Amino acid sequence: MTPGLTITHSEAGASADRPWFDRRAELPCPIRKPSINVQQLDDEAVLFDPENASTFRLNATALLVWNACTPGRTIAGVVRQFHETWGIELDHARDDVEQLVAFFAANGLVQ
Amino acid sequence: MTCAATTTGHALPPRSSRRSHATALYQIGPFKVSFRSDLDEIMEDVDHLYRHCRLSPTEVDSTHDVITMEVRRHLFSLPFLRRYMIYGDGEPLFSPRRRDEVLPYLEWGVNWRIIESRREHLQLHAATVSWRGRGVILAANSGSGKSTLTAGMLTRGWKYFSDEFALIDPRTHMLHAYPKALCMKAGSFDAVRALGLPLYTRRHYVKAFKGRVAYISLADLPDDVVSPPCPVRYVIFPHYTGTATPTMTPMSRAEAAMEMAMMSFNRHKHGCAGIDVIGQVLRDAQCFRLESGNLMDTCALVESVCPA
Repeated sequence: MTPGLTITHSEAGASADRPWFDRRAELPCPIRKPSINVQQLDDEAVLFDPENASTFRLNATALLVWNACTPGRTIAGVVRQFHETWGIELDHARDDVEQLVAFFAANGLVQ
Repeated sequence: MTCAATTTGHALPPRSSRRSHATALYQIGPFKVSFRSDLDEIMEDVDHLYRHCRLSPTEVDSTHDVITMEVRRHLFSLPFLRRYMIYGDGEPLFSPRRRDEVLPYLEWGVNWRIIESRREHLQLHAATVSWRGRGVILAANSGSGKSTLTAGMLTRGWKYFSDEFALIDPRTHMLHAYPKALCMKAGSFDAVRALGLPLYTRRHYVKAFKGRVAYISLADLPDDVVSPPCPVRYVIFPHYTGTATPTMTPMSRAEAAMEMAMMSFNRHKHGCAGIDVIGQVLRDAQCFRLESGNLMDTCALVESVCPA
């Protein structure tokens, strides 16, 4: 898993068990692997990873996070975009974004 | 053809039969297929099903692109428990089969060889038909009622590509025909007969989990029943539920793409290009889930979303 992307349900700020981890920090977003084939279909997308021939379907919210996985973006920035686009509370938006990024990382879709 | 297979070092053992068996050659859609069998009845049945596309040996330029199917008596089977081996391009394809299983397995063996050796099309597990120049993919696993629905559509003027394969040209994204005989399960026999379609039931044939099967030969249907290549406009995922009122529910293209990817026979051979093709096809298509029931009601429902 990409460092700093561990999903935690503690409140924003430093967590009790990991005082060094500040969720408000401007952590960089991981970057999409260039080898992933993306087929955007309407407001969703299908990702194909040729390395292990696996296929993933992203709904509109997941696609927003996927599209944000580019150089120069930060997790906090994506959370704010997520919050503004979908009108979701910041804490929920942060949880969703972290889970999605962790999913991308766990499946080798980002680097 | 058989000689070519034996000389390549495949597993086909030398022929020891006292009788000579003729080879029959057919052009089934884009594929040339030759059949040879120890069982005369198999050659009769194959010829009945594919007599309209029989080729003479002079029509074949090269044996290179011919799929070679052969049925041989299994050497170690007892006379009262006779078993037969089915070879595709010289390779044994299945465990020894009973006499009443040979034709269905031979037919599936052809499909298997196409999946294995032909990569000029993206292949999906789907029935495919067309309606006034627009292609319809009916993608579903076995037992979902694809062939029965296809038979019903043909009686209403639809054109036929295949009841088992969607062959999509990766460059043009057009559907192409693999017009094999329609394979019907026993549960559909009455419905097919009620449609007035000629069901070939001369012999009792059994296919693994499908049970008893019979065939509809395209030779018994109108000459123009096979569709010319056309673009895909509808992708439908049918599921037979026997419900009183069939229903069609729109689905997202991404959801359809996932299912099409899973139903692709040879996506792994095309890699990223296979997903590109599926994406391109779906951008111009509407996608639905179909809960099918009464055959004619289901056909009418499908026609209602594929207007003239």
